[in-house]
Amino acid sequence: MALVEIKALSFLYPGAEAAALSNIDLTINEGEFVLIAGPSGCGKSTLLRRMKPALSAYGEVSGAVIFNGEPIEALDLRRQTAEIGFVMQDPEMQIATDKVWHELAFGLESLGTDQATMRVRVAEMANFFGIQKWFNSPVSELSGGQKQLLCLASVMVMQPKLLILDEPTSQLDPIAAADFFDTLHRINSELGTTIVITEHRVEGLFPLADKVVFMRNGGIYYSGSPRSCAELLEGDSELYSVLPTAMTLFARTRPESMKDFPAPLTVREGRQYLKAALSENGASFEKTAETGGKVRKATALDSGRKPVASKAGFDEKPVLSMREVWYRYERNSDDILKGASFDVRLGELVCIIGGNGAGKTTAIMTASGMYKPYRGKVLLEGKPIGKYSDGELFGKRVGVLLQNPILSFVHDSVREELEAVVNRNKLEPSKLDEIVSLMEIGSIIDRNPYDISGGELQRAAIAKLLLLEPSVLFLDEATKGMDAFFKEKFGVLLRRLTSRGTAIVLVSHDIEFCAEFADRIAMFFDGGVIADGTPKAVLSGNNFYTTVAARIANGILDGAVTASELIDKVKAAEGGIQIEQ
Amino acid sequence: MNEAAHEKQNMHDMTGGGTDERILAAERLRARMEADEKKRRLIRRIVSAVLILVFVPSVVLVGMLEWHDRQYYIVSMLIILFSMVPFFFVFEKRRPRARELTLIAVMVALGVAGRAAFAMLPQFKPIAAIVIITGVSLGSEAGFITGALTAFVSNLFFGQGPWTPWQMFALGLIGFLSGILFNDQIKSKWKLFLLCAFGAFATVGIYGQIMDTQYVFSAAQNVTWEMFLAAYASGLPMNLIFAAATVFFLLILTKPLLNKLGRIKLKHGVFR
Amino acid sequence: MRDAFDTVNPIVAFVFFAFALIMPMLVMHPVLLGISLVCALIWLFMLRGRKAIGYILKFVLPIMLLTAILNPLFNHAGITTLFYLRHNPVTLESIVYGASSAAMLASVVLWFACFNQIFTSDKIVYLLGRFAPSISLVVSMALRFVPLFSRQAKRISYAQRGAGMGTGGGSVIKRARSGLSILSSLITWGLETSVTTADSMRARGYGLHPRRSFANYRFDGRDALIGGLLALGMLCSALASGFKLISIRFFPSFKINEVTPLFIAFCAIYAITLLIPVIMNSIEAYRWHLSRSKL
Repeated sequence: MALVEIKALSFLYPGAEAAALSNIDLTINEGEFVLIAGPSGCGKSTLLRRMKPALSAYGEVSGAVIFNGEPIEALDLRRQTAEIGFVMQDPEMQIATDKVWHELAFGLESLGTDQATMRVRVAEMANFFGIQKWFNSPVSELSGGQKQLLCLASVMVMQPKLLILDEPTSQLDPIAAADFFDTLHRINSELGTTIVITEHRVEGLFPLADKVVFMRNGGIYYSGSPRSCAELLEGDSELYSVLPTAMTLFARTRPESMKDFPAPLTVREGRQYLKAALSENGASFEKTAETGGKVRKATALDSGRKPVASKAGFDEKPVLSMREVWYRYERNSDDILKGASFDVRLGELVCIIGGNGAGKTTAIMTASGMYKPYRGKVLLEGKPIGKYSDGELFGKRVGVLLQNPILSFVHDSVREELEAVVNRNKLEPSKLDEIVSLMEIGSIIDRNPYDISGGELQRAAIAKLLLLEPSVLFLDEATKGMDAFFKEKFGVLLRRLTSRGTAIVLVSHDIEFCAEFADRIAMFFDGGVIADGTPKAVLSGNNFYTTVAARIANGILDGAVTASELIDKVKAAEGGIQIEQ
Repeated sequence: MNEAAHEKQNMHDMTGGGTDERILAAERLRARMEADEKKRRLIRRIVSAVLILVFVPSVVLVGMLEWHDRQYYIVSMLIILFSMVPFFFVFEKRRPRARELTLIAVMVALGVAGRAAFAMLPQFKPIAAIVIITGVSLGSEAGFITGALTAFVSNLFFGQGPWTPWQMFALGLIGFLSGILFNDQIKSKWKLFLLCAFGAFATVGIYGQIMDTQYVFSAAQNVTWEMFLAAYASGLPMNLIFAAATVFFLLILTKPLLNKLGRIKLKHGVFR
Repeated sequence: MRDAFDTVNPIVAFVFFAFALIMPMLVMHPVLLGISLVCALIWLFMLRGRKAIGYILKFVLPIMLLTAILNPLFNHAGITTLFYLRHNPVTLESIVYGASSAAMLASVVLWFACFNQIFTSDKIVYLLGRFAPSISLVVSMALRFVPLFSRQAKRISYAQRGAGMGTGGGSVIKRARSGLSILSSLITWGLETSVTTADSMRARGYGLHPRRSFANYRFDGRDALIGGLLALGMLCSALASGFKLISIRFFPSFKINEVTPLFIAFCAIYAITLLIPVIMNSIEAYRWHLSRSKL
């Protein structure tokens, strides 16, 4: 039975010229898990909010959203609250109260549920989500992942029929995101709740979804089962970037003879497909695997130190080097960095990867001179970094952009923000124009920083740093929450900067991004660097902490790290050409 | 009927007979809800104004006339507590919208946390300036609530005491008055000067005076003028620093903060 | 250590504190003030241990001294003049009154010190929620925002330093300027993102009527017992003052009620009522001691 029917829905924001939604028709059945994908600004969020009148924006609406057989506007706030749950992006600000138990009870308090029922429901949800341990904690002590689980639990406590989630994991690291998806899967399969979710991180969601909807420019471009979308999207390269790696591989390399092979969604299915495709084409699968194994060993051996050639040449002296640095926040606290060492050369893009709490952010805070290590050395241009004054160091030599770039904005428009730097440092006004065109932020320069998308904000914040031409740029979690399109563009821009001679150190959870754009990857674990080398050297040997493409290819077609490398290799193998050339 | 519309009609016919009806019904419902909301907002505002302007002065008056010969401390504290009741009562009764609540909570938290940003300078705190700007931008009611709750929440961190109701009342009153005396069009230098003058008066004349009075009432039964004078004189240096801080913050923060609050009010349709 | 009184239902606990705080203000009787002061002191030591001494030296003693000295200096009422200070009479009555009001202030401050230990934000939000749900919600939100904003302020200061826009130490003016730009950035962030909070509240039905506060606290047999004791104590106090069992007059001459058996009985009841938390702690400690020695 259809739970939500959207009929010819169009929506225009007040004062806007183009419609945010145009002529949307969509049916969501009871118990379905629906994934809505598409680039930033395609109208996903607007559509989700039309399904929850309490959050719908004002504007010109035509068409209708029918919920459970009646127009959604007819639902009073009480029924809307109880029957439609909504979880938003930012876990931090979604939480209203200061204690976990209070937040869990918030919805029931609104509904005026009686004390006994409230107690049972809250306890039930605390159990389901594994919240009992931090039930009495203040919210400020939770991690980002726990906060988002709390947001989800505080909605589920009202037992909604429909659960809507708007990019819920965009602020989470991959492990927390995987946890979150697991919980969603349990809610869908164990409670039967209908779920509608938008997400850039599609890799983990495709296997869970019953229906996938692609949106573009306010319209629905495709809607159907996740497996069948590979069929329909063949030849449309723009949408490849939002498909899981296994599917991209399938859509790009599937031989004619395998028309009936089901589209792979997971790594496991991707591997099955890859094996089948390679043997189907007569390319010597056994042999490939064997040589692949040898290559892997070789790369693992020399993966140690050797830096890769970058635009500026690899034998150049490092501009910044960190030597056996130890750091802890307080005298009696645990060490965060335990003898971490790494070098950065001009014109190089170094990515720092590693799990939560591995010391990545602390590493760049120490390397940039923000934190003072209690043992070990940080040398900038051959001189200990502590010897520079704040004025000499920050801005002109190193630029640091922390997570959440919005925090570095004070003024009401991007232009004012940049002009403040220009005026304060008495720079040429032409410098501003140069940087603006370099970072491609001309179209948003007069907008308020709070009105632009995450990807644009990141670029504007980097532009602000670039005005002073620092030789080393530190970026923390810069790709967080960016969609595939913005990420690609961002990577290209970073390469543009390194080709001008800037060194960039990027902390990221996004292994796919690092694999594609980095010159070098430093992998952190427990406060130290445990692997340092080219993306291929570091990632192709890993089994788990690596790209999806490498996991699909592992042991079958070794040496492929990015999706495009894997596709090229498969194509080459299918063409009958030996891989080892 | 043009072609596009025709096609739309056809499509609706195909997807189910009642759909068109349902779309129309949805639109009618939307229009009626918007009109209702406007009417409700007007009534609320009138009721709250009457209650605050009539009820508070009468409570204070009755309290002073009836209880003048008993003990000052408990009586004055009760007067203070009772005079705050109508503000909170009206605020509760009109069931403020979620966006108003969060905005007030943010201003309260800024007042409390702002103190930490200037921890190195004692008594140099932005609390009063933030309360005044809140009153100017969001109106007298929000000004009072923000002021009173800033004092209350601040004391949740630094310790409640018998001074809590007095601080709440003093800061609340400052927020209330700034909402009555100024509107959010502080464009000229002259108006900013007036606002700063009010800020200086409010910190010394209202906050300082009320807190020093509190001390006199707490310590003495037969209060004399000399006692008040002595208390005010001893409190003056601290009050003057607080006043200087308030003027400083008002001079610098008023314009950007009013702009920002104005933007938020516009964007979210609150406090208009 | 967790205080035994911490787990008492907040409403009962609030009534206890209201009684303990209002009595000294209402009846400035030296004997009762002494009882109140001693009870508050014992409990404060149980709650804060050695830290209580610092608190008393830093806050309570100065207030007491100031009050005790200022009263006779400014208040010349009373008929028993002891000596003249610059032609102004210093009277016995005003000295006694000064000492009494010092004791009153001190006991109020001490009871508040205990209150601050027991009444965590949870309980305050819960209590407020019963009478003023919106205000309670604002307080709860503000309590959540304060640590968040403080952390964010730190991040902003790093962000500005990293962009070469920080001032990093320096003169007072420089630091004030840097503090100001952090504050301004914080204000913008707080205001802009508060909308998310409001949306998520709306999405969870905020604005529906009637709203019912979730009680994370129960009312059990022990709460009923304590409540009963409290009610008894309050009733006795009302009767004692109604039948002039306790009476005090400072001016023009000092006059106090006679010490009768009934008065002593009332003092005992008053002390026991105020000692409820201390007694609870002692019983609990004794039971632990017993159960451990059995093992």
